[in-house]
Amino acid sequence: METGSHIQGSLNPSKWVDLYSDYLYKYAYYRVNNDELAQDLVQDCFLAALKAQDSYKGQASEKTWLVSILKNKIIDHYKKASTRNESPLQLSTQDAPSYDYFFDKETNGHWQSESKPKDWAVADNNFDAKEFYKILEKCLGQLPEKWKGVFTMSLLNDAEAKLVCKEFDLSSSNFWVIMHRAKLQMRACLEKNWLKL
Amino acid sequence: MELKEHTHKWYTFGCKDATYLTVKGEYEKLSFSEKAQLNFHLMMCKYCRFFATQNKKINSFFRASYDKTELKLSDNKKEALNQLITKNLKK
Repeated sequence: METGSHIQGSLNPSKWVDLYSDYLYKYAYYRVNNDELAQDLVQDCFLAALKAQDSYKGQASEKTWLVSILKNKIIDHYKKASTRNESPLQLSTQDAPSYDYFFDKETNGHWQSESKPKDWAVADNNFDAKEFYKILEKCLGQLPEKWKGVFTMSLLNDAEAKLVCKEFDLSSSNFWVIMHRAKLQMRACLEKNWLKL
Repeated sequence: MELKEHTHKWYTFGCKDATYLTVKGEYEKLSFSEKAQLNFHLMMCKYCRFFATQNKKINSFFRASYDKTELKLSDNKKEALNQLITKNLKK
């Protein structure tokens, strides 16, 4: 394989690690929330890219091309992780608190008194990205695996939401329910553990 | 199944529905009646207003933390990756 040439649109695998590995690692880390797994995914991405070199047509930049391969690897991971026979909604009833935890059925779904959101005014000034992520990471760990993927991937790129549905094989309403439940849970977890309100 | 969970009637519209529509509205244009019900509810309910603000904050804080955080692979791991690539190139 010729790697020395620098014709526009050609690949240069010997430079991949220097140029892109940190970027790809962070990309994966924030989406799977697991260090070892993120490293494995970057490695898998490079190996898959080496094999697929012939399919690279030079339309996208080398980086974009690698990211798209990595993204597929991440989605594959989540597909494998979710139990085959269960729908994402059924999975939720076991692994995540039900709606009843947040809302009272008796009152047409008003907030349970211990679940009522508090004022986050304090969060405007005290935002420390590192501290925030450290806590969010812990909170993400409480979500069912597949929800975590749906949540992180759609939050890190809004435009991906439609794509996320397609890739995770979700109807729009399934997607909204997952995002609703995940947001309720992350909100409560951040309020308690990050803002300590 | 999930749709049934979220069929809301004007006379039973509660916080569960309001927060659901808040989240749904981020991704999909709400219908006129959905918007009317949501806005009316938000006018009355402080907690759902908090939720709506916090919902946006979680989005922007998460993205900001992604942008601000520097994350690097260890030199050892990079070395190993380089070796792996070289090995697979030679085939």
